[in-house]
Formats: sequence, structure tokens, C-alpha cells
Amino acid sequence: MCHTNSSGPTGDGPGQIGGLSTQDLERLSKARAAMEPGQEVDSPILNEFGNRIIRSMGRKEFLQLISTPERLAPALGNKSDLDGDGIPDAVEYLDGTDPLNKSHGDPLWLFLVNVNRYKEHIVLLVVACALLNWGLSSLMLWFSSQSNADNEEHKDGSLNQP
Amino acid sequence: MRSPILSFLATRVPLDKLGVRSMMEHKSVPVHSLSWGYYTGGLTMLFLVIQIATGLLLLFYYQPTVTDANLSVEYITNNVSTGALLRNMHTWSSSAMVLFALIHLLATFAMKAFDKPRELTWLSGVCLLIVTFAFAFTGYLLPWNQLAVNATKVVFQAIDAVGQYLPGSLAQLPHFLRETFQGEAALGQSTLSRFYALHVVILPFALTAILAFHLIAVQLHGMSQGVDKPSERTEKFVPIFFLKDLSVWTSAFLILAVVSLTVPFDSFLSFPLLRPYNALQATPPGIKPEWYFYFLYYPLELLPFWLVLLGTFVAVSLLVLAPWIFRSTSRRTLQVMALCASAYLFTITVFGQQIYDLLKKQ
Repeated sequence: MCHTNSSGPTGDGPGQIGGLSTQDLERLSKARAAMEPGQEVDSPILNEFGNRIIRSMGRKEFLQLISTPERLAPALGNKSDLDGDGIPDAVEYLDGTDPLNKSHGDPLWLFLVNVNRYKEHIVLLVVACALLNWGLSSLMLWFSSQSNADNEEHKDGSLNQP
Repeated sequence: MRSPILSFLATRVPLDKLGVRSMMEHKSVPVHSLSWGYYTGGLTMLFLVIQIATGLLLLFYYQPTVTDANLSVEYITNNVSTGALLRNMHTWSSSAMVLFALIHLLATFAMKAFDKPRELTWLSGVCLLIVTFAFAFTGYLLPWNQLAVNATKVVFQAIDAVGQYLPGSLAQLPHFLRETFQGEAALGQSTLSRFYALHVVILPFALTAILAFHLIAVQLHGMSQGVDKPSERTEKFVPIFFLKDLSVWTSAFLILAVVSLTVPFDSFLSFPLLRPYNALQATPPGIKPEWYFYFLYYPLELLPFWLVLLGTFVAVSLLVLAPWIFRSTSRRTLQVMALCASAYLFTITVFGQQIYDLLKKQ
């Protein structure tokens, strides 16, 4: 959830310690020195969420919370929402959903957030569907009445024939 | 004198009745307690149309290569204007299409709509259901994420395992089929290319041909009686029933659009499963097929393979031969059978995981 590479920081792959360049290793050392909150953190082995955690609470507090991860969410607070899906990162952390993917989160929460976010769109959609239904129905009824009229004419015509 | 085959076909496909005017003017729909069943076919077709429209738009951006497939899906979701909505509509409507195809099949079965002269209409419907499942299966692999590739692997393993129960040279058939569709030693670019070709070219052609026959046959024979005692009330297909159908379609489209706009389909899946497929990574837990395959997946997890295989063979045979096996069965009995099948499908789909946990604990 916090690392660049989904397999974790150990290894030679992209975003893993064994695969870092000299510049990346420097960035890693700087990030590791950010012991207090509020310091700029740009660790190459952490994703945006991981960097945000260290930035907001500092590495010192984070290391203290490692043994009690459930305390991490209250410490993060409800202000940060990196993916902008309307669900705070702390809640996504607790739910086990992806805090960096706006299409991922608690479905019911997303539904309520998005209904509120897109209420104008939904109203327009309802109006458009109602109009479409009315328009097509009217067209259908017109075709049907024309067809009936043609039939009547046809019948009358054949009756009048000698 | 006409041959029996020609005579059979002439009764089942009475081309002399073909004519838009006669079909429009004379087609009527019986009104009875199971009349709702007449709407399910139209709804399935509506979701198919939505599938085609959204699928064509997704084609503009989707890249069918193992390196870019997942990235292109991410690009569609995050960067393309209305891309997330289109993708959600495509996935939600695929589920809705399978759901209504199943409901349509069960309603048709309960109404004995497969009875003479509609045997070929029924058979084409069964083929359409199989093609629909094939669409769902091939489309599942296209995002090329952990879930897609690993679930496909599981299905291929199951196909391979069928061989041991087949006699003689037939035993090689499942292996041959797996190799044909997989295309190489492990799931890779060949598999993705083949699934992509199946999903966007071959299956659409097959579906169009079968669907055209199915729709023409439905128009030629009109709506089936549906109940034992002929209904006293009927309504004209054009315009009365069609107008009602139109309202149902608009409502279904509205519900689908709102759901697609507000609830991303991916939110129901665990996010490590949505990561790009990496052959070097361990298989993440929770690999499962899409919900509409649970009716087969949970029995495979819980029962001996041969038993599930036998059950599937019997079920498919019953479906294909229904017009002849149940020729003299009353509609009441067929309704009870359809209810039992619905109860099984509902229970295993909704409570499958709980049943699995319960039985595995013992």
C-alpha cells in the first residue's frame, strides 16, 4: 500500500532498494533523515501515500507506530485524500482499499460521495431519459396511427372497387 | 413429397410469414401472471447494444499487448474524457447482460416457450447464452491484471483436467483446446492476442448471426402462450407492448448510467488483484472468477471434479434437449424446476463464500 513496488522495498526491481541509482539512494537517505513531521520527503521506494505518511508524522513517530498499525489511521487524520475519491486516506488505510486509486474504495461510501458530486449530471440524465422515452413513444404512436389510417384507406378503397 | 428435414425446418422457420407489415400488425402479447418474462429478452438485447457501443469506444484506446494492456486501461480510467464512465458502463452492463440472459432462459423454460414449433428458437437462445459466457470469459483477461491472468490460468487448468475423464483419443481434446487458446507455454502475448481477437471479432460475428436467427424466429412465431390456459387478454405488440418495452429500456439505461457514474466496478475487488500482472510475483490471495461463474466455481472448490463435470454435462444436455425431454411436462412442473434452478443460482452466487467457509471449517 505504501511502497512503489507492490512486492515491497527489498529486491532489484524498479522502486526496490537493489535497483536504485546513486541519485535515488541520496533521495532515500534524505527521506530516512526526516525524523520530525513537516519535512519534505521524496523517498524513491515509497509511493505518494507512503511519502505523505512520513511527511505528516515524521519517521520517528511512524517507527513507533509500526508495532501498532491500527494507531496509524487516527495519527494520519481525515484531511488527506490523495486520489480525490472523497474517502480520506486514513479510512482507505483502515478499509484496506487503495488510497491512490479514485476508482477504489468502499462501494457504498463511493456511491454516496459520487451521488452528491454528480447530482446535476444525474438530474440531467433523468430528464434526458424521460424526454427520450416521451419522444420515441410519440413517434411510435404517430407511426402506428399512420399505419392504421393507411389500412382503413386501403380497406375503403378495396370495398369501393366494382 | 418433402423430406422430413425440410418439413421440420418449414414448420420451425416459416419464411412465408416473413414480412414486416404482417409481423407488426398481427403480433400480440398474452397478458398473464408471467408476462414480465416477455421483457427479459429485450433487456438482454439492450445491454448487448450498450456493450457494443461502449466496447467500440474503448477500442480507440485499449492496447492488446502484455506490456501496455493494463497501462491503457489505467489511461482510459484516469485520463480519457468520460473514460471511467465508459469502462464502468461496459463492465456493469456485461454483468447485467449475463444476469438478464439467465433470467430470460429461466423464464422461457418456465413458460415452456421451447415447445413445438419453437425448438430452434430455444436452441439458438442456448447458443447465445454460451456465446455470452464466452464474451465474459475472454473480456475478463483483457485488463491483464493479477486477477484476470490468474483466474484465466485456473480455468485453463480446469479445462486440462477434463481430459482424464474422456475416453480414447478424445482425452487429448481439452489439452488441444487449451494449447490453441493459450498459444504458448504459459499465458502471454499469444493468449492475450487470441482472447482479444475472440472478444472483438470472432464472437461478435457469431453472436450477430445467431441473434439474427433468434430474433427472426421470435418474430415469425410470435410470443409463446406462456401459461397452460390460453390467456383471454392480449395486447398488440405494436404499439402497446413496444411502448412498455421502451419505458423498461429507458429505466434500465438510467439505472445503469447512474450506477456506472457513482459506483466503480473495481471497488468490489481487492486492490492487489488489480495491479498489473507480474509473472515473477506470487499469486495474490482471493483469485476468483466473475460472480456469474460462481455457480461452477464453488462446486469445483467443494466437490470432486468428476462430480461437477458430470453435473455440468447433465445440465447442458438438459438445456439443449429440453424441447424433446420436457415435451409432455406440464408448465407447473417446469416452473418448479426453474424456481429450483433460480434458488440454486441465487444461493451459490450470494452466499457461496459463506458456504465454502462453513464446509471447509468442518
